[in-house]
Amino acid sequence: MELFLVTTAVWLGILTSVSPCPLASNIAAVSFISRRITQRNTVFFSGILYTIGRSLTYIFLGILIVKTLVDVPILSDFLQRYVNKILGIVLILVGMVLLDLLKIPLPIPSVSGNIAKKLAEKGSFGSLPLGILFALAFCPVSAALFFGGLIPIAVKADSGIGLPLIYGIGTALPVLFFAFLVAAGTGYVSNFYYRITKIESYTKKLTGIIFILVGIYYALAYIFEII
Amino acid sequence: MNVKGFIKSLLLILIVFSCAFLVYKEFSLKSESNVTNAAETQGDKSSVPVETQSDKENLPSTEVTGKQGEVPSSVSDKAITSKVIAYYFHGTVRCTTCRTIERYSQEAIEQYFTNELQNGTLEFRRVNVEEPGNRHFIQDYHLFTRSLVLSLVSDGKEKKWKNLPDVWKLVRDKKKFYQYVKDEVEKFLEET
Repeated sequence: MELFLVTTAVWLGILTSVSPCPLASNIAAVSFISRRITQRNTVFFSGILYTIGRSLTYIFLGILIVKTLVDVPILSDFLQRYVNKILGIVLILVGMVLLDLLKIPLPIPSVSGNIAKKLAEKGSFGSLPLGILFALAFCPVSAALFFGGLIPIAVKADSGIGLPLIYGIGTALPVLFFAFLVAAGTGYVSNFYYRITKIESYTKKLTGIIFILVGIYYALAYIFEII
Repeated sequence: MNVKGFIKSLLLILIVFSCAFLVYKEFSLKSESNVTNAAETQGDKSSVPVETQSDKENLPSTEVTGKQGEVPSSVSDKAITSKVIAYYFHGTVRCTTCRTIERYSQEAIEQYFTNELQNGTLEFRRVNVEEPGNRHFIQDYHLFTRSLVLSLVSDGKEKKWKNLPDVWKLVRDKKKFYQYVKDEVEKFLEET
């Protein structure tokens, strides 16, 4: 029974991720995660953080619904209406930062744990908020699968944390798969180049361009509603 | 360097414009919904005017929308006291899967229930829940995504309603989808 629930949650997650509507944000996520293409560890950490970010969102929503019985229609409507709109603007801004068009003075956290510092230096820290934000951007298909598929099971099993966590991992799996594929694939190519850093400046730029394009797409679709 | 500056200002303008557009739309929507809410309190939800559905549908819906104009008169002529309304609820942004669900729903209903559509015991309505006057449907039918909802209306009052959640599961299987819609609509029609 437990195994059945877990498999269902993963499967719903994967279905959410491979449906056409989050395609644009998935492309942005793949490019962001595999941005430090020559450093496989960083790509790996980045992917893990992205997954944690997604799961955090679903756990938050799961607890909210399972434990507090918040009104699902209102919540779902709110997320679908507003997050996608904000997403476009955020993606364009992040893309501009990646392209060095904008410089944001980042507040350096005073805690500065050793691992956190290392991750921040390698630039994979951003994957966490990225995962949180992308998971919040619901579209009709993901809303049907999450609110209509996962939540009823989670409510029945009284699992506000476990099942949403597994669902979150499921939604990240296809993205992780492609990110690692990109990193592994270009790993071979990069052996031919002696100046590895050069490639990374290109991949960073490419990620920035992808973010801006995806951001413009979201703005046109959800803010101006012309596509 | 110049190109960089140009792109930068272009993108910033886009962002500012987007924000301004968002704020403007929010405000205009709010003032609009205040007006419609005030008007709506006078009638119950089943008497929502047919005009509330968006006319900018891009699916070939001539048959259904054409009929809808006649429905009120035929209802009064034959004194049909109860009828079934099949609502398809959508938002402003239309996704591929949602369009398929909408098309299948309409096709299934038109294919199996030609007579009922003609004599007014069954009606297919498309409603954009993001339009100010239709927002109450989200609460009324607990909608969390695009949905097909059947509603049984008797003597101007809603007797019962049912959301058909399996449309999302069956959307990849046209035959089963049609059968599902047919079975559910039949169950509702039996009670009219």
